[in-house]
Amino acid sequence: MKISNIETVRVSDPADAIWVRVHTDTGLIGLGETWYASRTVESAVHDHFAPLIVGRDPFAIERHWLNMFRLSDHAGYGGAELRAISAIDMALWDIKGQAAGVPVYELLGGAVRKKIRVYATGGPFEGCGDLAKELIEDGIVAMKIGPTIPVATPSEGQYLAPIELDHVLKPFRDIRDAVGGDIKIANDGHGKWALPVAIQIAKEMENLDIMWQEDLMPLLNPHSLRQLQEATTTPVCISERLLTRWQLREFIENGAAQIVMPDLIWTGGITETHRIAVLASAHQVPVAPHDATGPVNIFACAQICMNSPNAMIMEHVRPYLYGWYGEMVDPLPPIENGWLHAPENPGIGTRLRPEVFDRPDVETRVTGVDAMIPGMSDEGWVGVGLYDPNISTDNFSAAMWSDMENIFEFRAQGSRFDEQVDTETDEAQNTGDSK
Amino acid sequence: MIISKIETIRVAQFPDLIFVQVHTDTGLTGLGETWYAASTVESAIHDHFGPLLVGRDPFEIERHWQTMFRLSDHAGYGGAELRAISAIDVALWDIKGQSLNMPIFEIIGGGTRNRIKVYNTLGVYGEIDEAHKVWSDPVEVAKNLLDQGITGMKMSPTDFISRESDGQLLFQDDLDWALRPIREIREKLGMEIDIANDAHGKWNLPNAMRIVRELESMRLMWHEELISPLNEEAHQRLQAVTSTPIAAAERLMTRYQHRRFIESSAARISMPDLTWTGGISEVKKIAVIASAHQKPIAPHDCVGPVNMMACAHIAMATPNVMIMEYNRAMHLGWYRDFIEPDFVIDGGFLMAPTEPGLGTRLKPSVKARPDATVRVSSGKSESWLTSVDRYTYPPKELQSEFVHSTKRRRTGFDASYYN
Repeated sequence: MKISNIETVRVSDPADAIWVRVHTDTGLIGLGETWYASRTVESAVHDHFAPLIVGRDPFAIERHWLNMFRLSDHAGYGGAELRAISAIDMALWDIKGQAAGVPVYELLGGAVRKKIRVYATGGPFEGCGDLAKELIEDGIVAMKIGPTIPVATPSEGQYLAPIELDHVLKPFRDIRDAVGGDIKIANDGHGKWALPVAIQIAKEMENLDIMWQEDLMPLLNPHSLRQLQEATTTPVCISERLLTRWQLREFIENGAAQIVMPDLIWTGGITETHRIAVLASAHQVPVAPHDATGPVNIFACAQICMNSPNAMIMEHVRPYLYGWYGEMVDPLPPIENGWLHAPENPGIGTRLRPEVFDRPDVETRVTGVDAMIPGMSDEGWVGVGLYDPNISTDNFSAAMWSDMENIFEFRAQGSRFDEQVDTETDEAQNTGDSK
Repeated sequence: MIISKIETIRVAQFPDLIFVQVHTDTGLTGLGETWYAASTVESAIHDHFGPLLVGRDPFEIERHWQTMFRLSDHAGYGGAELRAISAIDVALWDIKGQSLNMPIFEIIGGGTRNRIKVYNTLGVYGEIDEAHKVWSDPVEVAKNLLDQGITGMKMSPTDFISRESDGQLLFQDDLDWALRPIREIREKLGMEIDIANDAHGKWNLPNAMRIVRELESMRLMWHEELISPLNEEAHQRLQAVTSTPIAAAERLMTRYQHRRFIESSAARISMPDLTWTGGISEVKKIAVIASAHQKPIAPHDCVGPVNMMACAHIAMATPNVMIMEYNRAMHLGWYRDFIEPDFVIDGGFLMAPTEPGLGTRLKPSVKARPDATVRVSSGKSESWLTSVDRYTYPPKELQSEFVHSTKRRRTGFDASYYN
């Protein structure tokens, strides 16, 4: 099987969402998704990564992940490029699952469970007590609100007056007054506060039985976050903003993160989120995947949750699930009575609705096999010519560098590689390939 | 698909070797293997773990791994039980790969390469006596490997001299005598061949330090088990006195033991033994943790042919695999008596398996051997993990009252982890 083209799909509302469809010569289509700065992601998908992927085997996910990551990490990984990688990675797993005829969790190692609890994110400042009752009625036993977020603005998170603190505790108290301990409540701070204020907030909320304190501070310094965790009995939850196992590692290892919350469509897709769950498991801490970002993400997170023994609970935003998610995908994530169930369809479990392509505000872009970088070895950068005892030193270095040079040359010439490339030289350079 | 029965096969000729075949109601059979104290492993497989698996879905590998691990960890994980888990895990991956018509490496992430370099651990079997010959003609042994494209070798020159004091006292003239083969290879062949030094945990810390300092200029591939990996801080001290990488070797069990050696400066290379440390599932996880620290793994062999196949799948799908161990004497001597098709070593590389699943089968002739012991079990039990009769649980009436007293429990409590 070969990847025949890569397509992106955007709409004007929500403008931050973008879907990636990886098409193959067998007709199978893999679906991925990400959220935030979608035009920049679109450019990264087509101008940056598609040439590495088109024309190649969609099954070699680990290799594609590494190729894309290394290309982007040449100038520091993260941001839109990592979101693009995340979306492409999901689409590749979707293809593999469909080809194998099983949901992706089977490929990750199989199920440890067939459903997982969800919590509901969001709530009004007034009326959280009623919301809690409504959620419990619907079988949902945990919720997340973030009343401290707006009050951080005046001081840039440097100062919180006692009266303001009292004010932000009101929704939590309303919930406890309304339903007692029947619902778990998490507090999300969106990374707004300085350390002393964060500690103050966490301490004040302790008697409200908080499920976790999430992103009270910016996730910039693992040492500071550990000080926060050491100061409170409430578990500190960290964080959708940390990208890849390399950033999450320190927070997990130093005890700052008692709960790990990767965002699958930001941090590197199914491949990387699975690795993060493994890393957390070695420290006996749970993962609670993030979602406020899109329906395909929930499906992908469901695959992780069904497979990972240390999955704790899954996020969802009810207005999104019952609002725009349904305009985009079919089926919707299988959430019922407070549970996210194992997706049943092969692959990631859902498809973009055909109507999406008829929308007046839809913008699609396609990169086909003509963008494939000629001369780049089939092996990508991994294992290229290394170890070949028969290779001369000259050829060795040529083989090692040829791929990178091809890519640099490709990029220097804009969106199309020069067709006049000397194929003979290319073959000579690639004699070290492991074919 | 349901696991119908579990079968183990061992032969008197190799009292440490044991194969496990997990059979399913569809006729698919998965193959696993482990090595060491085979009769004890046999008991663990049939008496301990088999009843948890029979009647269940072989695709739920992660769940089975957890269930088996927790059952064994009730009294401290490790040993024969973990080897049994490792062998069963490989067999389950084999079933899944065959069922999905994919080599295992495709399932666990896809290829990052299609071959992995091997080094040869010197051995003695049948025609091959390279582990003996290296004492009298080390250059010839090295040249012979290079002729086959194998550019790395592992030997254990200091094992013998540790005998007098059980590793507690090291005399310089003994050490000079023991290191002669390495020095001779470097003198005659320069850096043409890579050499790893394995001491099987024979030495105490100061003597290990002395040995690594003595070998500093030989530019070795790694030092392995100069001391046993029992104490991570001791390993850190050893690594601190040498520029040669220290390998944390095959005796570390699961990610939970490997973790500390990877996260600290105790070792620069991890060498899990797949058939001891928890199978394909666990070695993949160890590799992930090592990758977060930008360290490689170099899977261990010297245990059996199925292990080589399983490690090949790990190596193809895992970017941070450095090199694979290979024991030419065992491979050419007896591995091929047991499996078909054989794994492929070509020009110093272990090649990617091509068949679905593990890519090899136990030869039918093995079970027919007069020295073979075959045991089959198909008994199943409710796992004690899901039993409602555990002594720490309240009486059944109280359980029922508890579950029915709130909506959350009514709708969720039965969906506990191991239902």
